[in-house]
Amino acid sequence: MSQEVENYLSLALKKLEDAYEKMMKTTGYSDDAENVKILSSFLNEQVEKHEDTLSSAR
Amino acid sequence: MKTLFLLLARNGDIYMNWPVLRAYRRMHPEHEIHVLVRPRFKSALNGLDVVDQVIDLPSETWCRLQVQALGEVKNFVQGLRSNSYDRVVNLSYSLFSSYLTHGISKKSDSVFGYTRFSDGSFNPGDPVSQYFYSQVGETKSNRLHLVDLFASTLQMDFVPADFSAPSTDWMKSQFDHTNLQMPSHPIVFHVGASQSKKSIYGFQWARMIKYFLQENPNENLILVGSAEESHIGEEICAHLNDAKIFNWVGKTTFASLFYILKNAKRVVGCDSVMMQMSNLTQTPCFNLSFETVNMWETGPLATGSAVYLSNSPEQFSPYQAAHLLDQVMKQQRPENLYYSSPGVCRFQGPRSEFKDEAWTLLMALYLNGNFPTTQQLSFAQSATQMFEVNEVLIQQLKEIKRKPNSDQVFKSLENAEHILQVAASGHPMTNIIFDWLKGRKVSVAPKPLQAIADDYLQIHQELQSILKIYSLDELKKDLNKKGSAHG
Repeated sequence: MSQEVENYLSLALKKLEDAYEKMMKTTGYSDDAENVKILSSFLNEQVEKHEDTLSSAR
Repeated sequence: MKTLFLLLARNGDIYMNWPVLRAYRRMHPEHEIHVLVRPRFKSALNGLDVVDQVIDLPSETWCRLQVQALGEVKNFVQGLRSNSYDRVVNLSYSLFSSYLTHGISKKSDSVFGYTRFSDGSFNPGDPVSQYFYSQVGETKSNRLHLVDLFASTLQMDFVPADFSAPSTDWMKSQFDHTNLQMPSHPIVFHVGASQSKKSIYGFQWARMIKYFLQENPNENLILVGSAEESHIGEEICAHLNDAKIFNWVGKTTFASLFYILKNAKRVVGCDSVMMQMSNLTQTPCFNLSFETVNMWETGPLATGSAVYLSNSPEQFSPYQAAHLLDQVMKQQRPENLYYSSPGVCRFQGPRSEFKDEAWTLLMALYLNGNFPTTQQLSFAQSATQMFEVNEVLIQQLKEIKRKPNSDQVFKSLENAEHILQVAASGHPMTNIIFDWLKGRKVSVAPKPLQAIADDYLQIHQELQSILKIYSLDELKKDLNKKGSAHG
C-alpha cells in the first residue's frame, strides 16, 4: 500500500471514529453505530496491512 | 438449518479449517454451510466439497471509501442477516470480525467466537475463544494447535477422515493444468513464508540443499512458492547450477499443489501454508521453525513430521538442518527435533524448563491441571507484588458495593488495575496470569454497576487464591506456622 493511500485511509479512519463517538453519545450502540465500527475496524486492518500476503492475519 | 462461518484470515487458516468444516458437516448433516471469506484468499477453499455457498467479503468496494461505503456496509450486513442463519461461527479472531459477527447474528440462535455485547463492548464469546483472546499468539505460551482450538470452539472432535485431501482425480486435473512433469517421489521445498521473520534467506536454502544433496545425490527436489517468491527460487538455483532441481516457484496454483504434495516423500518448509496443506495430504513435513513463531499452534500434523526449531532466521544453521533432514529421511529420530504426536499437545520434543512451566501454568488455569511448583525467584517476587496490589483492588471493589457513586473509589480502582498490570509485566509467568484475568474480566456482560462489581470481586478473589500459591509472604507465613508447630 502506498504512503498516499495509507494517509488517506488514516484520515478516513479518524473521521469514522469521530462519527462513532458522536453516535455513541447521542443514540448509544445502534445498528448505524455498529456499521460505522464495522467499516472503521475493516479499514484499520488495511492500514495495518492485514490483506497483504506478507503479513500475518491474526 | 443454516450455519455461517466467518473465515476472514489468510490461506493457512483457511486450510486449517478444512478439517473443522468437514467435522461440522459430519456432525450436522442437516445444516447448510456458508463461508464468508476475503476474495483474495477464496481459492484456498477450492477442492473442499462440504461448503454449500462461498460469500465474498466486498473488500474492494469498502476500500474505495466513497460516500456510499457506509450504505454498502449496511446493505451487506442486512443481506447476510436476512439469510437467517441459525448459527454464526466466527473463527477469524479479529476486532473487525467481532463487529461483523454481531451485526450478522442478531437473529441467530447461537454464536461462536468473537462478537460484541449489546453496548458494543468486546465479547470474546465461548470459553475456547476466551482462551484464544488471552493466551494464543506467537509470543504466548499456548501449546494447543489452532486446528484443535477451532474444533473445540464448536465442541467437536476429529476423526482421521476429516484430515483428507480432495479426490485424486480432482488433484490430478488441477496439476495437469500446469503442464509440469512430476518426477518420482520428490522432496518438495517451499522456499517462502507469509512473513520474513518466518522464512530463511535464499542463500541459506541453497546451502541447506547443497549439504543435503551431498549425502543424497539421487533425490528429486522440487522448489515451490508463489510468483512473488520467484527470486528466491532463482537465487537457490544460481547457487546450485549443477544440481538436479525442479524450480517450480511461481509455476503452480494452490489447487495444483495438492497433487505435488500427495506424491512427495516429504515437504520441507518454514511456517507456511504448505504445512497446513500437508496436514490434508498426510505428507510428512520437515518444518523449519523459529522462536518468533509458535510452532505448537501451526506446526505440521502429518504422521512422521518433524520440526527443527532455531532462535531466529539469522541463527539458522543450514548445515545442521541438512544433517537432521538427512537423518529423518533415513528413518532416524534425532533428539533435538520436535515430532508430531497424538495428544493434547501435538508435538513432543526437547524439554525446556521455563517454557514447560509456563505451559503447566496454562493447563492449571484453564484445564484444571495442578499449578506448577517454581524455582524462579523473580516469578515469586512478581506474584508477591501482584498479590499485594490485588488485595487493594479487592478492598476497593468491596467499597464500590458500599459507595456505588464514589468517583474517588473508581479512580483508585483504575490506578490499582494499572499497577497490577505493571507488577505482572515483571515476569512471563505473571503475564500469563494477568492475561487470564483480562480474559475473565472482558467476558463480563454489561449489567448494573453493583452486579459488575460483584463479578469482578469474585474474579479478583480467584486471582488472589492463585497468587497466594506463589506469594513469598504467604510462603514465609506457612514456614513460620510449620516452625512454631515443630517448636
